[in-house]
Amino acid sequence: MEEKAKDFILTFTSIFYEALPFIILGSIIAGVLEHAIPKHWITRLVPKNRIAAIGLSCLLGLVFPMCECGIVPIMRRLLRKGLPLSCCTAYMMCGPVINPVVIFSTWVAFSGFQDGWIMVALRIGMAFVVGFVTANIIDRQHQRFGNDLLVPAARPNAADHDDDDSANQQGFSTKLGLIAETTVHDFIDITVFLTLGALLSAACRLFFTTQDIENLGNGFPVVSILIMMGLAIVLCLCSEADAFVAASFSMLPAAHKLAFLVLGPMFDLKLYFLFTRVFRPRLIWTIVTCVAVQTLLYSLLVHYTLPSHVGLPKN
Amino acid sequence: MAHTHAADKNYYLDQICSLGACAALGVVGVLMYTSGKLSLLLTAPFHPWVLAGGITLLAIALVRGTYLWRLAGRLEVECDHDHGHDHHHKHDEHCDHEHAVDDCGHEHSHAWTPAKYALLMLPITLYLLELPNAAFSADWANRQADQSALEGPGRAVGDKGAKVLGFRELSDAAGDAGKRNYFEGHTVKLKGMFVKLGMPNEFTLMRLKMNCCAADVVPMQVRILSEDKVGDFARTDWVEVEGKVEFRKVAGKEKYYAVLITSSDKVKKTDPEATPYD
Repeated sequence: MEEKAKDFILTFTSIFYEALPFIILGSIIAGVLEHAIPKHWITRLVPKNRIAAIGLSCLLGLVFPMCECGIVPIMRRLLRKGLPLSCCTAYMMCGPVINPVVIFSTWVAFSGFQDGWIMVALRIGMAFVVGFVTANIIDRQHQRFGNDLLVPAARPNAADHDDDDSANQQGFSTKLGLIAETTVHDFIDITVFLTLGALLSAACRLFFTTQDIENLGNGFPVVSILIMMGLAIVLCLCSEADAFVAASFSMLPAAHKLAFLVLGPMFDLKLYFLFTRVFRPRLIWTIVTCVAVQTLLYSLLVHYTLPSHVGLPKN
Repeated sequence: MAHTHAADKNYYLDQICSLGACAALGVVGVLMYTSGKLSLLLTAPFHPWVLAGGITLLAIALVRGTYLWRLAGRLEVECDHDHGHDHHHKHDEHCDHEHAVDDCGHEHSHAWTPAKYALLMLPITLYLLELPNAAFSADWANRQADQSALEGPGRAVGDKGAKVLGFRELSDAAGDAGKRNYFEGHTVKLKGMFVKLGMPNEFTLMRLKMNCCAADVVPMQVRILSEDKVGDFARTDWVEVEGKVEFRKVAGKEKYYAVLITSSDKVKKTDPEATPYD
């Protein structure tokens, strides 16, 4: 029992300290966005055509790479600054996958596998499609329900126009104080939920071994893919590291690994708690349903169309 | 109507608690780095990030503390007008209703919620209790071990002489046909955790591969096959083994493990490494 408790603490603290620097970075960027970047700068950057805007947002991670934890406070401030909800969610879902660091780590992880580059391409492509379709569905929902989909702290506020004006007149020290205030607020707010998510994930990890996962994932395709998706939700791995874990399940078919790699950065236990600081339950469940259903469908499509040797060790 | 927190008695209490939590987490981040404890949790490239994060948190707490101090000072001197924030959020002129704590339309939640800070105290408390103080337990390592039976060698493997080889290098080679052909037949010396299997002459030597953090650790396993019964090692022991490399298929699967063919006199108890990660 004592050993189990120590393993639990080790897993919890490792998830916590891995995410901590990125939450801090995200909170600082959020503070700067709130107090130093005028709202019209951001709204001016968004293409008028919504489909193009969502498509570009899906690829924003290539320019502004950010992990799934750090992206949440930034997104909340971008929403307040008037960036469309659909664009924010597109960035939130695709950014942690379609960014240079994660693309490189996926390539390294699968470099020893047959046609490893196909795994990289499929991960990027699938994440793009899932994020793009989900963002478009959210756009429709936003047209219907408006900002009721967001918690008050994330809603665009007309009063921010006045803040932009007054922000321009503030001295450096005042601005710095305000940035620090928002940074501290966002950091505390998000870290509380990071702690909760990390605790839950560490508890779940006590019950699985790598061997169990590989055995579970080798059954009937639909069930196995669902199991891999469930594991992605429970394990709460950082998108920079998950490819190495997926690669360690060496004998699993490519589609099973892809389901794990695409869903994990878009939704997991830790992210659920972070989402509650931005989205109302209706929107959270829309995101979860869209992402999960698409990941399952596309993974099955890959499973039945891709040659079986792809993504397996070079035997 | 300028929005202020003048009437909110909990505002300063909440701000002081936020500052305290920020500064404490910053200090713990720095101490985790300087004490070397991070090597149990994260791979080396992440260590400077935690240090930088800790220092940044301390700097932010200092800036915010100074700003809050000035605001509080102004509160005492100018108690007949707006104080609290310097940024004014205009509510609707016709807004004559009561706001819920989280519904005031801007980013701050004004309520002081002790539970929030209790949760944030967890990593700080764990640090004060000097936890975590070890990598994964022997119990964990034993549960991770693959107990599957291996097939026979299939063909005789010639002796290619001694070679210096890392645990990770050998373990990873099992998944690559070219590397298997290259490495088999060499005699290597490996050190790892002893994990008992069912047979008296067979056990697993284990090290852990950490990619980013301890949560993504994957066990690396090399099977040891001895010509005779190996000594009685405890499940927490580390052993050093010298033996000839072979690669054998897991029965019924397209999966290989590196195997060291050895004898009991070449299996020796040794001092454990600082961490089981390789």
